[in-house]
Amino acid sequence: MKKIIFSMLILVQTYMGFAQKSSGISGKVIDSKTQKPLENVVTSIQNVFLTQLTDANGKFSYLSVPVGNQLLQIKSQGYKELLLQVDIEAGKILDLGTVILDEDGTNEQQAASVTLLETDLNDESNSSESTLGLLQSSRDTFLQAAAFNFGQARFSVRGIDNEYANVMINGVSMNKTSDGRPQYGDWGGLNDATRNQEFTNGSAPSDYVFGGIAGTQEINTRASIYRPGTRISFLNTNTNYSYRAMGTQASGMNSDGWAYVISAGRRWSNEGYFEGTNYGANSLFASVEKKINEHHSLNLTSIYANNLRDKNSPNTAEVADLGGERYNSYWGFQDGKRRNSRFKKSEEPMLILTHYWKINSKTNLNTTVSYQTGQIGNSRLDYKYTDNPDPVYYKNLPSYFTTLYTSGGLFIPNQAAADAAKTNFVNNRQLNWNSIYRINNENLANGGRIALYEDRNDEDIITGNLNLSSQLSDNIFFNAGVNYQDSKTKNFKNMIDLLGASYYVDKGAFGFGDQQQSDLNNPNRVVGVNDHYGYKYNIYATKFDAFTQFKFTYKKVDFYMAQTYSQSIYQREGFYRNGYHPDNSFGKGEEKVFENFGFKGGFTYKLTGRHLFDFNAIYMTKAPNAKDVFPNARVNNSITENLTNEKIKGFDASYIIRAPKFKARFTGYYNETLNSTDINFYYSDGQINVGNPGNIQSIGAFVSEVVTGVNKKNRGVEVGLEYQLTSTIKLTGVAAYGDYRFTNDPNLKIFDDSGLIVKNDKGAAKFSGLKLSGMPQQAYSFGVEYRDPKFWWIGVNANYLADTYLDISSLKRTQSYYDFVQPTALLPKIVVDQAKADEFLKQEKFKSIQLLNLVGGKSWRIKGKTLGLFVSVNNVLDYSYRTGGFEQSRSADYRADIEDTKAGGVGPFGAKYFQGYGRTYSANLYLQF
Amino acid sequence: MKTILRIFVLVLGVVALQGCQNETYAEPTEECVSPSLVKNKEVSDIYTLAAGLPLNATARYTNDDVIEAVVTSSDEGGNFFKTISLISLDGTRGFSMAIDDYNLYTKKFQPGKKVYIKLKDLYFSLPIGFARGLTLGAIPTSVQNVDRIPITEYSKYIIPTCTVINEDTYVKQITLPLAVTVANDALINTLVEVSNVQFQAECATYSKKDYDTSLKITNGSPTGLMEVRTSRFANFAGNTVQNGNGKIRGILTKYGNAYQLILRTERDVKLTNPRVVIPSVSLGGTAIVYSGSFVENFASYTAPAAQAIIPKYININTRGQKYWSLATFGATKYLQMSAYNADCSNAVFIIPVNMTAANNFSFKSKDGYFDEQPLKVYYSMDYVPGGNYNQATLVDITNNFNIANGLPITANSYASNFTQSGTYSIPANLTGNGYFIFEYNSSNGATTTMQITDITVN
Repeated sequence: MKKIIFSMLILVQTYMGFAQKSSGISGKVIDSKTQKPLENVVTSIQNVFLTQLTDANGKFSYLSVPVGNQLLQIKSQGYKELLLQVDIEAGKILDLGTVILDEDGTNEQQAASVTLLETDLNDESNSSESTLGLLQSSRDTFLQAAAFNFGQARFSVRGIDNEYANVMINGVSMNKTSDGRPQYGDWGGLNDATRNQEFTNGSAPSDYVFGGIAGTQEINTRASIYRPGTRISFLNTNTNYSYRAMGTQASGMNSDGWAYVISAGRRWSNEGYFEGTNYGANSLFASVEKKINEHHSLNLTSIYANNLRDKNSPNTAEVADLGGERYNSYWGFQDGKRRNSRFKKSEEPMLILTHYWKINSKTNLNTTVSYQTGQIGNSRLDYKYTDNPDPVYYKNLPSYFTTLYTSGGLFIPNQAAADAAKTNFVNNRQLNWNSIYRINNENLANGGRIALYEDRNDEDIITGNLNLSSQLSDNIFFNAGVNYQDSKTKNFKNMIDLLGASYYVDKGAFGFGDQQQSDLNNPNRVVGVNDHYGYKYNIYATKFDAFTQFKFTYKKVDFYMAQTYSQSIYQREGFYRNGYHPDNSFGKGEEKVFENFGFKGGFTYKLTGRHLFDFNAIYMTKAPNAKDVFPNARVNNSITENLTNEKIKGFDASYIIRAPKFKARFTGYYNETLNSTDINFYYSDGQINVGNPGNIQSIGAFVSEVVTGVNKKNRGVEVGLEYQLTSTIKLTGVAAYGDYRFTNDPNLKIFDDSGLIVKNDKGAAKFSGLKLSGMPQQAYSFGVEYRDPKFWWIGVNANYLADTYLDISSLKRTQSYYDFVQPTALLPKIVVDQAKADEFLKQEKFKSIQLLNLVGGKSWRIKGKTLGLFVSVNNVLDYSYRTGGFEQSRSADYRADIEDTKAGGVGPFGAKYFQGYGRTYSANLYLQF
Repeated sequence: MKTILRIFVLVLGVVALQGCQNETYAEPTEECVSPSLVKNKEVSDIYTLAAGLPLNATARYTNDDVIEAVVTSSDEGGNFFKTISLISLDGTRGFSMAIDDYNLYTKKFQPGKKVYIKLKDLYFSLPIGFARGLTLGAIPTSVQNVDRIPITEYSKYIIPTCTVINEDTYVKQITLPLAVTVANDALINTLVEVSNVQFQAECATYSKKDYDTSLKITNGSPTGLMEVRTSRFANFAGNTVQNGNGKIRGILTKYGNAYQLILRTERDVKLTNPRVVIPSVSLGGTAIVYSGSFVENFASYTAPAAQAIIPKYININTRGQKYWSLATFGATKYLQMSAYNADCSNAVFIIPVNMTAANNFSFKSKDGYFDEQPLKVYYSMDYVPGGNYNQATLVDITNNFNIANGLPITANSYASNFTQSGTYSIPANLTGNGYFIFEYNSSNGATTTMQITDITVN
């Protein structure tokens, strides 16, 4: 943004040259608290394309402004934006005198907000993730509400997954090649250091990247743009962690041309909102800039964040009833402490070196190279030759006994056993580490039976980026970018703890003979702590992309057009010769190349300075993510059949009102993603129809489910209203009404390690009309904010969210649902009652969510320093709600549904749900000087 | 103030660099509490009761009695499924219990574990078909003399103590063959060990993939055999048996009138000594004729015959148990050999020939279920009938012949017609008595059925 500003300054001067007689405006901007002049504040006269930065004395002056009513905008990071109506008279310079900028609570809110981001990176086959992290720096009323009020209910703007959003630091893409999503944890806990952000919504143009349909976020860590000063803060909350300490210092540019920013943060808790969830995260940040001369500047940013987070289990309704809403099946007591078997550990430091080259007053070329390396591990218990140690294993639950059938299909419910199971579960509801150690100790021969391991993804990413921006003429602004990224991801199982055993043998319990070997080149490998086993492969991904963009600005209309080309190359290299796939697992596999194009454009029509119409349209194709290219990457090199690029279409139209007291945006949007691929892995140890009708077998293995050719349509309207009732009271109203659904019946194939499934192609999955899951499709918010001149403020928001749907089991929507085996002992045979089947297959809609949120803050000025407190209470009414969930695919046929519901319940394989937070608070105390 | 901040950042940094370690947890120790039960009956008492029942009948135990026993079996290997074998503490009597649960060996019922069994309301029987020997369980089904005790119930009947007895103290040595006697029946469900044995088929897997399999173990004497029975669901079922000679442990069971050894895990097999080579026995060769001109179409011999015993020729199983057989289809008779379900079977069929008189050699071959080419053809001039075949010098002449090779592929998996081998001209320097040799060699994994007829020498 700064580049544009600098370029525009030149433009202003050009204008001035033509001025016959000065008609203009001037003023001086100061901070309301410190009463000191503010430098580098952006001032602009709306719709006439005049922009200036204030000088060291906080002064600005426009000497050639069209006569008449104009809107002057004054804004700066961390301050409330001012929109002033000014009347420019011919031949006169209007002196506004001193303009006071108030600190903006949003910044505090942003700094203090403990978003769902980290918990949202949830593993358990829940595909929906929040895009909201990137909204927090946005000024848009609607997006602010989405970030701060809807976020806890997993609202997603326009229902679009964040793999369609581009997140960058200094122009370097942070989206991972594996799933296309950014790993927010890589810079978590550095809220102050990553505060300089530019955000675009939808497919609107960004200077840094072509983008997608879910917006872009550019985090700028150039040291010289940070406001000099120091800030330390301490936060207490009861969400996923308890405490956060953070400190940041920015030097500003000194006379020798050096500037630096350092920041450190730590977040921790002994138990988060859900039971047995520890949290520990540390972050360090340093950025140094050396200005070589007026044309060249170098900036080096290094970010290091490590993160250890215990997970909480999604629970079936039955388990939540027995264990409570905060129940978490992943932990158990050991050594008097709560030990969680599932944690995520990440550590992915990065170095970013940028060369800023101001070629001339109109053209800038920024060159960035970056290197990121590190590891992400997700832990889990491995077990063999023994029962599943999970306390909520289906055979431990009462519903297993109330839905018991003989192998012939005779209903033999056992209420006494169900009652016993219930008592047993209530008394032994956590993971039993003692029993795990006992089993391992009793069976020293042949290695441990249960071990704690992590699925590791160790990435090395090198990126090179060139970004050119140039003011081609008074009305034409040009951007171009070239980006090259080369990544290598090592994937393997890493042994963490043998849990009392002296070794573990890398050999499966299933399969026949050699099939049990994960690596035929090293059969029966003996595994110790920190040894790799199970699977081991690299994924190489290379991506090259380039874009150009032209922006045209005129008095009545602005418009832009952009185009992109990209090439993505994926390849797998296996290091183990898998027993099931001896010929297709070891060594390098086929190289898969995808080429893609994209075009977008849009225009803004300025009816008057206050009434604008904005239109954006995009058509692009997108390469599949690496995880969708290799459907069974853990065991072989095979590539998803019929895999093609996704097609993405998007259109939105907005009516924007910008009056001094009233701001509004009304947007309608229509997005289509066609031909996407969805691969899910789940552990199946129940019945699954492995072949043609009649061939049902019990499978205890990881199954990969490949759905190709998925079409989705997201359409809806967004409304954001903001009204300054008085100088101290602001009202906001926000509404989102969406319709996100599948529009076709994609093909489904299913594979298992053991090759038991002989009929892999299950045909079409009946998705048409089903809703996209995991986020509310309707959201409404009403807020009142009171901002006292004595530096305190308070806000209250009432929110209503509805139409959240359960993630469906794809397999159940195929013909295989009806290809069940008739019970042998039961007469008459089961006849499919279509009405009943439709009822079983009906997608569950969650009850609506009502959230009342309170925020408030106060700051004090003490000896030239600012002390501030920010407090928020979310879900004041402690409203209980589910944020998402998924159907299990274990008992995925009609007979199973008939049998499981016979006793009135849903059986042991009912849907699993994610529970939303109840009443939570956070309080942040900060000191700034 | 800057100093304060720097200290703050420094502290955070130090914390960060070491702060993200996993917590350590001390290894838990589980207190074991033995049940306060006292036995008041012996296993032999229950045997006596069961023996008094009508043949194959099941009865319910009504008295509030307790016996003690030691677990001998283990379901770790997946070879025991929902059943547990036990012996009396004095080791004299074995029995089994049917329990509807898996992985019992991880639930304090591992081998050597002393347990108490509360008999009241259990059913007991002495089955006469499969799974013979005293068995305890739940109310019988139409198939089983006793049913499995439900998963939620069995812990009321079988209660583990904290005592684990080393199985070396109660394992019983047996010798082969194990004759069916009352004394040996008493060993059913006990842990037995047999020494100086090896698997007869040296490269078989413990079980076939699709059906449970019995493998013979042998001590070398023709009658010194016993079956080792392995479930296809055992987690070691697909492993190749050890090649050597040594000791094998297992739980003795009786199926009908035959004893079977059931391995608990592969660790029960300790064949650490070198394999004892058992000389193969030549068939036929009792009236060898060296001719320079003949056509052998086997029409004059009885077919089918599992082993081709023909006085003029010699038939040797050089590896494994199988010989060339005689078979017939329509009017054609032929030699036939297949390694299907007979791993590592190699056999040679030796044709004595007067090489001086003969000029040409040819034959016809036909394949079935072709996977790999098993047939090799040699001549030898120094083979000594009745002598050690392995010492004969063989000259491989396989490449001189067209041999059935599975093509074209047919619907019924057998070639439609015999393939003419083409004529091999016997080299002029081969004089005197010699031998043409057909070898079926499955070392390449072949299980192809190979048929040979119309062996022509002229």
